[in-house]
Parts: sequence; structure tokens; C-alpha cells
Amino acid sequence: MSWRVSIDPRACQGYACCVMTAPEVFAMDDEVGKAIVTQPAPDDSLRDLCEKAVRGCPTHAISIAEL
Amino acid sequence: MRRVVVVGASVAGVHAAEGLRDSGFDGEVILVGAENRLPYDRPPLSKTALVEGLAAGEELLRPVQWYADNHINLLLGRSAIGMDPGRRVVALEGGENLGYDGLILATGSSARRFEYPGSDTLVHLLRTAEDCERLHGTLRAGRHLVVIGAGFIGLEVAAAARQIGMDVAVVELAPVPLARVLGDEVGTWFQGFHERNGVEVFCGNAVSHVERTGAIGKVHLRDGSVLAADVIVAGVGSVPAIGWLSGSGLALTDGVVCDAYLRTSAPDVVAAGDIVRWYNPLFDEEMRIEQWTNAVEQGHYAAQSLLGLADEPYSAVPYFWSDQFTARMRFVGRANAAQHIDVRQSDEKRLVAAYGRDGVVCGAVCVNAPGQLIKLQQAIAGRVAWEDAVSV
Repeated sequence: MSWRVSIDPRACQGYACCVMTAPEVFAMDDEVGKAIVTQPAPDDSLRDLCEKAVRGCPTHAISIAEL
Repeated sequence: MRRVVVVGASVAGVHAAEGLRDSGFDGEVILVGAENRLPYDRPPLSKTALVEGLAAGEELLRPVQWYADNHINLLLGRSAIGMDPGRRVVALEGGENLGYDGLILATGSSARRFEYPGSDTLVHLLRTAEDCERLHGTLRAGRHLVVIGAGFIGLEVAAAARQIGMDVAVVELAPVPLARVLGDEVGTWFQGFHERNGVEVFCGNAVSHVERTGAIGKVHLRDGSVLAADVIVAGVGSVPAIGWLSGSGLALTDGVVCDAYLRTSAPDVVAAGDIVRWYNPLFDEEMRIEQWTNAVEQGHYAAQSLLGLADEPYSAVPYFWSDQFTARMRFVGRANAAQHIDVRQSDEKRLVAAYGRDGVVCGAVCVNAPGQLIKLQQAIAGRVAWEDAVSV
């Protein structure tokens, strides 16, 4: 089963926790000071890190959807 | 293991309960909280919630349905007052004894009290949602605020009160705000930033006494200054909430002493969050961290450790943030005992500084500079040599 990661840009406050946790999947957009997803459909080997990013987001802005 | 009790229903406790379910534990989970409300998030209490008020339900860590869906039994408004690791029971206020097979301690911190004769109803502390609701109303109705202590909570309260439109003065014992944590250069930047936003900052000073005339107080400082105050907030640090464990026989030293896997000195008892004192191998240092991100990760990890599923010792690069006016401050790593500090950027809006010790880069503070933060965090996690970090 595949899965996808997304960030709600309205909820994101640029704490950058996700980028520090999983730089393979997230990056900071310095212009607007918010995080973006660089790899929306990561490999399964990155699943644990993405789940860590979900629970570590101070504004609950990240979600994982099963496809 | 059939029943796990989690004592403390804030961020570490909720993530511990969630971690138990994520790890496949299908026994009974009881989450005990001293406050009589659903577990909520604390960081906004000194920021947006203080300015705008606490919107109903907005700051909940999890919606109420989540607890039912995950079969987590909430026991709220019940303080734990003791535990007996031999009999495997937690004593609750009111006389009930709660048995456990596994126990996760996550009782967090309490605000340190600071009282002056005659000032009892003027001095507020800020730790809980109830404190925030009370203080929000008081600040809205007030004109002159005096904040005692220029730590992060004190400076955030000062910024919130300025946004509400109050006159604000901050009194700090140390010569520079935040210096104990971040050093003089960075502390001086924060002082200037607050002064540019209309906050009066009195450093190297202290309150000698508070004079009360009706609803208005006068705060007398050691140097003879007198500040009007209809509200006083004391932000003078916090203490680990471990008083209830004093008769338990558990090893306690400024927190609960834990091993590399967050196990306490008692069998099948682990700990998470502000109360944990453990050896962090990434920094070769025994530490206790009072930070949101640490509470999330230790909560999750402690659940795995209790179930025997933690493969690696717990290690982490500490991270915390503070939002004051337009300054989005993010701190990563450690700055204590730093031998080097390199202020890379310092202007009215931005600040970037790196800290080094034992030959490696160990910490960084960034204000409104998220790109720099990421680069320095990676250098800290990778233990990059201080000389090489200059080019990061």
C-alpha cells in the first residue's frame, strides 16, 4: 500500500521540526518561512521518520494519507 | 503486562499513551491528570492564547474522541500523591490506590513560586490553562505590568502584554536577559529587541518590596526605582514535579534518575519529559530538558522502552522555540558550558549565533533565519568540528 505526506500551509508556523527530523522529505521555504514537502510519496524506509515528523509538529500541520 | 498507568496528562503523557498503542500494546491504558480538563498544549499559553484568549477546544492535544478510539481511560482531576514500587501501586488524592503492571512517569514541571509580603493577589504565575485564562482577563483589564524574570516565559508575557496595549517593565537579577542560557551577546540582542518594542528592561536589579495602594501596586527595586503595577507576573523558572515521589524510594536528583533507556530505578517504571534526568550520548552529558519536542519524543520512546521494544539508547538534539513580537527564535542543541560563540548575523530583525564546546559545534540560536537553523542543526547532529562549522 502506498502513502503520501502533506503539509497544511495554513497550519504551518515554520517551526522546522519536520525538516530537522526528515530532511529527505521536507525543506524550508525561506521566502515565506514555512516548510514544504519535497518528496510527497517517499519510500517505505522513510515511514518511521515521517511518523516522527507528524507527531513532532507543534501545529499538527503534517498528515500521512494511505492510498 | 496487562495494565499500564501513565501519570501526567500533558504532552509527554499523551505521547506515551499513544506510543503504547503505536507499539501494539492492547492491554489497559490509564492516563492520570491532575488538572480537570482534557490534555492541552502549553506553548500557546504564553503567546497567542494570552493575547487572544483560550478558544474552547483549540489547544487540545487530541480531540476527545481520540481517547475513546484508542481505548485510553482518562482519569482527570486526580493528582497522584505517592507510589509504592514494591506493591506496584500509585496512590491518588482522595485515597484510591491504582495498581499497575507498567508505569510511565510524566508529571512535568511546576512554576517556581515567588512571593512578596502584601503582593499575594497581584503576583501571577503562568503554567496551566487556568493560569492563562485568569491572566488574559487581568492583562486586558490592566494598564501597568511588571514582569519579574527575563527568561523565555517572562519575555513572552512581556511581548503579549505590549500587544494588548499595556505598559510593560521587566526586572531581571542577572546583568543581561537569557544570559545564563544563551550568553551575553544573544541576551543583549533580546534586550535591545524588547526595548525597541517599548518594553522597559531593568537588568542587574531585583524587587525589594511591593507596596499596595488599593488596586494599584508600586514595585520598589533594589536600586531605588519605583514601578507602577496593577499586574505582576513572576517568570522565575520551573521545578520538576517530583514531590509526590519523595517517599517512593525511587532515585531522584533534580528529576527522576533514568538509565540510557529512560528506565527508573524501579522495575517496569519508566519516565518521560521534563522530570527525566538521563545521559544523552550525543552531547556526552547528563541532562534534563524542559521542552515540548523532548516531551513528545521521550513520551513515545518511554512507551517502547517499557514494552522492551527500544533498540537504541535514547539520544536527542534538544530543540525549542520562543515567539516574541516578530522574533521567531529557534534554539537547537546546547549552549551551556560553551567555550566558543560565533555571532554570524545580528541586525534589528535577525540573529544567528553558533556555540561550540570540546572542539565541535554544539548549539545554535536563530531568530527569523530558518535556513541557517537547518544547516546548523545538521552540523550539531553530525558533531562537525568547530573550525569546519564556521563555513556551515
